[in-house]
Amino acid sequence: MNAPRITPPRLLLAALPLACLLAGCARPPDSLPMPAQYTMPAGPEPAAASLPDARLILSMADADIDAHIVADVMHAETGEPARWTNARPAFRMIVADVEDLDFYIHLFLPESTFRVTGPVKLAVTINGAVVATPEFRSEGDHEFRSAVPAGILRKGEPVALSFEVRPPYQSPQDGTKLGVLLFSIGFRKQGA
Amino acid sequence: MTQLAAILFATLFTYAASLAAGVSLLRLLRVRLYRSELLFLGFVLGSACLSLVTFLLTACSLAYPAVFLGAGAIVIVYGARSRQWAAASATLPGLPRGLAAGWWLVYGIFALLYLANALLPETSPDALAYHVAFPARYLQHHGFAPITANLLAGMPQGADMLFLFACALGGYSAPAMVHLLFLLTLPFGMAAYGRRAGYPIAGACAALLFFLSPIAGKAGTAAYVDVALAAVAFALFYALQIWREEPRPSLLAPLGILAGYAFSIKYTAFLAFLYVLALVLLRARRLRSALLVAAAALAFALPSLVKNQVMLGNPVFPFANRIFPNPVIQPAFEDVISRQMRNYGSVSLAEIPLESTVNGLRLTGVVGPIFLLAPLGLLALRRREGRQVLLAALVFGLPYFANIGTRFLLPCLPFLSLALAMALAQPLWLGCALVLAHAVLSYPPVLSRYVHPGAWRIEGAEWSAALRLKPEPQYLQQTLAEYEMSLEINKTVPREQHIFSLSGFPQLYVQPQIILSGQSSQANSYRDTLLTPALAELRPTHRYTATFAPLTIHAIRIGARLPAAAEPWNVTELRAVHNGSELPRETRWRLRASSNIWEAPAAFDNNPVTKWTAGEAGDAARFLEVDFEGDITLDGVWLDGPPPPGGVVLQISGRGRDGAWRDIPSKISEQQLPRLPRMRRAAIETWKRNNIHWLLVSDRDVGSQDFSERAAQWGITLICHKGRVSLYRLD
Repeated sequence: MNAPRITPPRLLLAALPLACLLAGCARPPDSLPMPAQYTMPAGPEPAAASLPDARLILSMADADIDAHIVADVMHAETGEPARWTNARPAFRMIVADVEDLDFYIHLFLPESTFRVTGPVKLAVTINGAVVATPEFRSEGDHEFRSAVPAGILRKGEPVALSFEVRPPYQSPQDGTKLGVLLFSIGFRKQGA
Repeated sequence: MTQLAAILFATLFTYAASLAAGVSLLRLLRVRLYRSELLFLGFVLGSACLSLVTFLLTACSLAYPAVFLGAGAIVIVYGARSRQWAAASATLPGLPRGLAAGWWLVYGIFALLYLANALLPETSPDALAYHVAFPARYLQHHGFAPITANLLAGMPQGADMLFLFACALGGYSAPAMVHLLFLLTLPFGMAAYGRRAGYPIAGACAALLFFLSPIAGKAGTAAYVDVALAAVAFALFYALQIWREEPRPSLLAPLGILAGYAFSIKYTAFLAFLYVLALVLLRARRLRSALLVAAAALAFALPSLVKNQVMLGNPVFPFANRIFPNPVIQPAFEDVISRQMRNYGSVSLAEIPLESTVNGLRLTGVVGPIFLLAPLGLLALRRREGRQVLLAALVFGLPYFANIGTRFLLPCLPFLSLALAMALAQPLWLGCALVLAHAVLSYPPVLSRYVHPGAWRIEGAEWSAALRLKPEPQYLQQTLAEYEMSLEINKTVPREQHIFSLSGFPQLYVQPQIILSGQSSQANSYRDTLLTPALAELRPTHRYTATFAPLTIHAIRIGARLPAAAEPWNVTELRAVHNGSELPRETRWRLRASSNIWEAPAAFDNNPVTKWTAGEAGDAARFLEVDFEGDITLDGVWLDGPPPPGGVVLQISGRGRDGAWRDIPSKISEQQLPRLPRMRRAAIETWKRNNIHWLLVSDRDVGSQDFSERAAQWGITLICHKGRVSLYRLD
């Protein structure tokens, strides 16, 4: 078989310096001009839609979540979507509209702790009354909702919301009791 | 059924065009191959050519289905007339008949399984984010439409160009089928190599070790590029071995093409170029041969580098941002991403073997437990061919440590398989047992019994969806949590307006462009602008005042050293002061910065929700500079922003008429600033100026509650809520 005549295409050989040239020609600007000056929006701040501080759901990512945590939730960076609870986390919140609500919780049970604890049960308490005892029989992501009995919530009044994790995971290193990895807790309108 | 027919047509057409292009090229170069080699090398080499042609057509704004159809048809007709088929020698030593039947049986079972998965409507994360999403966008714009603030925008697109070609003819499911072509073809290449090298049994075993590997099956049936890269890497190795046997110049160009193509699929294949160049130089000892290889490689690698340079200001975007500074990605962001890719959230080197073979959760997928035997592959070092195979495994395996996800092992997996098979395929029963054990352990029902339930893998075959007996929208609604919202977006949001999403959202089924938080420094800057009113750590809560004796100067520079800087230095506003009052800013002033100059104006725009960030962490000095373009008398500066954790050491310098910089002894004081009213609205106004008019928020996102409760203060309207995601319009 005859070897084909191939000579290095000069155009392609020129590509390397071309690449270097292209890389070199896009230097950042040495300086930039003064930008237009921004004027803050005029007028007073519009009112928020609901009661100050009122909400249906406490999301662990909320910027002000620390103000709603009463006990047993571990610290995390602001904006982290989930936080570890200990055995008896408690929260405080204000609910504007208390009619036709479901209790709602969204949590995660990691495989590493579930392997040790097995199925996890929560005893959920609203204003001192146990309202639900969901059991989670597998690791992973879980959402739970159940109707809130009438008369437990009062419009505009603070709600004490807590749950007990049975059993919690006990860290072999320092004995810390870990409950669940919590995303959000609170209420949802029934049917929503 | 029309949809299914379109997908199958696009797949076969892409295959035929690739094969025809490859065969034609080999004929032009007068390369003589066995028929089985021609089928493998021809397809891979031709796919490189088709990818380049698609790239050039798209660069010329000719990305139309009819154009691709025409180009493909010309190539196929030209290739079909080639006499290369007749010239190809028909025989390589084959397998014994019984063994061949067993090989085909195992191959066939898994090929059917893979076909069922590749045909499914596309739902794999990277395909939704970019491998199909970007080609779909190019197709929508008939050219390389800019992708805003996305680190994936500059990733090499060698395989994505084939996806674009197929997508134009067969829709969004065709790209996965094109990737499947590489998965189906590579085992034949490996088997052919084994036969040529005198190890037919080892080659056949190795082919199945790779083909049956769960990660190869999963990645190869989605519109990813890892199996394509593995096929190109192996084709390069194979062509190199042929050239070493018969060192004819005709093979040099294909070697270069394959090296360049590998780089154009994934940056991590850059070692392929050095590998082939070094071996050609060592064997041929002629600079001319090496230059020919280099020229061919550059022809295929350069286009995407040029595109990146032109569109993003960095040829190797999103890497090397210190060498090629650009406004989209700052070095601090690149450092964070690189760290994440190196350890996947704290997976140690010692954990990699079990994670990547058995567990599969943290490194997303498994190669299969059989590969725990991979160290035995070192026994192949006893043979010359084994040493070549292991050298290639090293070359294509080294970049793995830059990203330790299991699928990043795929480029070196064919070589590991070959080495293992060379070591263990004699006696024959041992090789067969090895393959059978691997087949059983890789079969989805068995696989699910030992890997982590969250491991990325094929779980079965859903033929009804694959054959479109179950309508595609129904399947997508069941499989993709965001699909319903995607449809809502397409109904509501004009195509040309940008949406910002605070967390990940699949782009593929959405027509307007989504800017994703966390995908670039620029996107994070938009995110910070939005969240500054809601998060204290972003707000300009502190003012640093530097006071000094009155001075008349031309320019002032405020330098900072952050002793414990894990984050870059941020400045919300910098103001020049005289007699306790701010000097009015003049349009003739010019702004400079030690780094990230593109954002420097944000520190001078009187906007409390925008800021300049140095873009570099670490304790090296950074500065902002104002050139007054004339004499100005001042006695202080105010520096507003969030306080850096660990404090900041400020250094003020001034430049006089003589042009020399001198330190200005200053007294630095610190005070808290009150919160400004109407910051929420200011953030939204600033976004609108950046052409962002829509916001996607998940219930889990920081600020989601604030948007819902204070929509009037932000000036946003909730348009719809689907699943956990809300769509807001900025008013």
